[in-house]
Amino acid sequence: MKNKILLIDDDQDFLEATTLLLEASGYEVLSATNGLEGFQKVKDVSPDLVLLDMMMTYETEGAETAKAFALDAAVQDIPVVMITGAKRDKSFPVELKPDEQALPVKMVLEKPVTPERLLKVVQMFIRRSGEEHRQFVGGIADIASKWKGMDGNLIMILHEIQNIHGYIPREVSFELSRILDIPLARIYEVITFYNYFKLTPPGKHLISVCIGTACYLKGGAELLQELKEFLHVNEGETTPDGLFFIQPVRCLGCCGLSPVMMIDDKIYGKVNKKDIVDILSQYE
Amino acid sequence: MKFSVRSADSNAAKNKKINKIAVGLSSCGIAAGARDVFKALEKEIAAQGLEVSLTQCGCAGMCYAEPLMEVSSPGGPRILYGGVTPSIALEILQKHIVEANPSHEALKKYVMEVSPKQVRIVLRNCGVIDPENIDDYIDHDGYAAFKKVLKDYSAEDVVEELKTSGLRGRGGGGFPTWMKWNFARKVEADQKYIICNGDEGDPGAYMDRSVLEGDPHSVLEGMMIAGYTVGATKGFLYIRAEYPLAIKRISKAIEQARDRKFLGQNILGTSFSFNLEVRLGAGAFVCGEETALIASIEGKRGCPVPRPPYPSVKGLWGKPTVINNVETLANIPAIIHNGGSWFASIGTEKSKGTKVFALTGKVKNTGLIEVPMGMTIREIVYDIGGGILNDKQIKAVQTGGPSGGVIPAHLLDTPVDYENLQKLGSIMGSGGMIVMDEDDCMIDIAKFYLGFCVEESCGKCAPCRIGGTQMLRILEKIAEGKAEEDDIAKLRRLSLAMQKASLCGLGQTAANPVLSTLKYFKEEYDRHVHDKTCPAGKCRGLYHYVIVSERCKRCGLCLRHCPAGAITGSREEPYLIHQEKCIHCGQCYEVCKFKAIDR
Repeated sequence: MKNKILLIDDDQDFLEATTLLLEASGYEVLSATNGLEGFQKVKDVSPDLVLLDMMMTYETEGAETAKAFALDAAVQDIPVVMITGAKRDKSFPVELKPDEQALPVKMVLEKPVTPERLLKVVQMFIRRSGEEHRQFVGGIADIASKWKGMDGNLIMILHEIQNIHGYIPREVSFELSRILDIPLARIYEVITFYNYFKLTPPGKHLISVCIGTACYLKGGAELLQELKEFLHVNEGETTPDGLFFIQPVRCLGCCGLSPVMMIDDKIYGKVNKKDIVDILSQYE
Repeated sequence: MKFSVRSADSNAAKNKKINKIAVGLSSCGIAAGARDVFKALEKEIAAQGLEVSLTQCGCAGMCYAEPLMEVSSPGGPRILYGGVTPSIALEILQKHIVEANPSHEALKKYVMEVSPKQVRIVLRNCGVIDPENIDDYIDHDGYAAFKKVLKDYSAEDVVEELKTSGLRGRGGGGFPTWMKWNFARKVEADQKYIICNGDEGDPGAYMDRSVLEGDPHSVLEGMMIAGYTVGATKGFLYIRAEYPLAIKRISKAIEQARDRKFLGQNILGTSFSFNLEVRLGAGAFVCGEETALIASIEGKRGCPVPRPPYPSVKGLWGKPTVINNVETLANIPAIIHNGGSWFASIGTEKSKGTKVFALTGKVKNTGLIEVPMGMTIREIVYDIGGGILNDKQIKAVQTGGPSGGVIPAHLLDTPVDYENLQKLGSIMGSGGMIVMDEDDCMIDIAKFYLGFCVEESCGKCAPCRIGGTQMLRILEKIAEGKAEEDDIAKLRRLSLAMQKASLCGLGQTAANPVLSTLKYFKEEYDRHVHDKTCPAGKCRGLYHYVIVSERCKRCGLCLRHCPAGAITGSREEPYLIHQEKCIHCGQCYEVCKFKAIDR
């Protein structure tokens, strides 16, 4: 099922361009041109993310609308990203005071926004559908309670999370921070220190190229280079079609078969650069 | 492969009433297809209704000949077969067991020989027992040492035994194990810990993985004895998350040991209580350093802290902690069982016992080997390793991973022990031994190791973080032919600064590969810097590609592949590479079918 995004903006050009961009990226897009209409639509369709313009018919319409969301139990969980053309220093009029925790505004973006930036922000904050969200965050409580009270549990919990998801999703970290009652920064500090933990979903197939010394001597680095050129991605990145994720690894412990690469669980030994196309074409 | 027979040991002979087949199912064996061999055998044994006990075992160390299977029949010898495929396995099953003819002509080509120069203490059970079966371990004198210690030894006795044995830490530095234990033993504390360091991060070293996968109980037993000696009630095994099979087998072994009351409260009716837990690493090389490892077990970023205080005084959660490497711990039960003086009779004056090496690189028989300390590198490479691949010239041997150095060909007769390696500017390290031939460029090697350290530096202290990066830049300049006269002097200065000022072992030793290549292969550096050529032909930036007109057939393939438009020519005009446009990518060299391009 496609994720729904609601755009609320009075600028027709922005609506059209953004709709095209988001639809091309696989989202379902709805739009409204003022706060009232937007509020109605949010209640009707329950989108997974709202992109809300700050200044519409009057200067603080966006902020007022966001406050209205916050006060309505039916929609207050829907994440909102605020977009504004106004410079933050002079006329940023949002008084997101009353109860900031409850406000659904996740981020304020300043126009102009590049398409790449916008897509990234959308990906970051989009709410998963109820089922998906439960699936995502559901197991955390169990894992956390299993390890609760044990010293030094964070890394072990993160391992279990990554085993389930293949990476450590942002919303899971949020949830974890809440359950364990530790700052989110503590969690991210650990995730980003260790190479093993990933913040983005890896591709469908994981390609690990060994660049341990034995494989390096026999051409492991050139193999990696060839793969990168062939798939047009860098190490630690997923191909645009989501099929492959490339990572160099230090040693697969199969030095007798060097140079070695591993796709998912299958190890390919004595790989020649020329074999890469044949090997990759087996995966889809 | 020569024909030979592995001697049957006394213990295995006792329960040798039926035919036995063991297939090596460690990570490397599985990669080479051992699971298929196992399944094929299983099916065939069931189909024919044979009386054969089919089990799995750990790695026998002969990685070049995986998959391996070992077959024995009642009263007969144990024979190890290598390079086995499912169909070969069935042939062996048929001839060796069904026809009861182990010396059949057709089988001889699969029989493997274990070099008589090897002495297996740490690897005593690897490839022999079923690692997931505690009874098999107990049948091979497993937990006998632990029981003996509980019954007859005081903590001082164990320390004394270790002192006699002369065992030194196998993780790198070679610190005497008895001293480490004794420090922790003497500190008064309400809680003490034992940690097994299984964060084997050195590229090209995998002995810890092999022991954890092939003989997990021996590591547990070593930890239990350590716990008893220093008065610790809790232990952690810190294992790389990249070793899923090792984690699985260790966890299983812990459960089995708990069932048999080797772990838990009041073990075997004594007042000693001990428990073990597994903690996973997460891909940070620096966590092999003990203070960083402790931080990681505590659930933090793996950043080292200055020593002293040493972990034996103030370690995990501020409590006295003994950290030993996997190989060290696997030695302990054997030492207690056979006595410290037995262990001390093997090896050299200051380095006792054996050392496991992962022999890899340009050598014929790659694999895990265990040799007595004091064996020369030449013996290891030629007698056990079978010599250099494609019979090329050996150039150097690298030991100690990213913290070690290279040993040039003319020093191959050096006996391997802690002191000798240090004298040569390398270290024992965890035991990677990588053989390099004439095609390997030393600048490239130095760059590889330094790049590793730069990537793995935790970034806490400036000498390591900045020094490493700067040195790497200089090496890259040298490899690209853009080096200046004083760059080598700069390298030396930076190395010295890193050695003196870095916080932990990672930074202090990161410059070793550069210093040792500079020491033995200065000439090669000079050729790169002054003549802008790479004698081994590895540094791409230094090639000059030239088309040799006599061999050129004017096919135009190189011109079509050149991404820089640096080649001109046609059927009538001779083909030429314009050096000022050439980006040294090597495309033309690779595509030319007539070898008409020189570099």
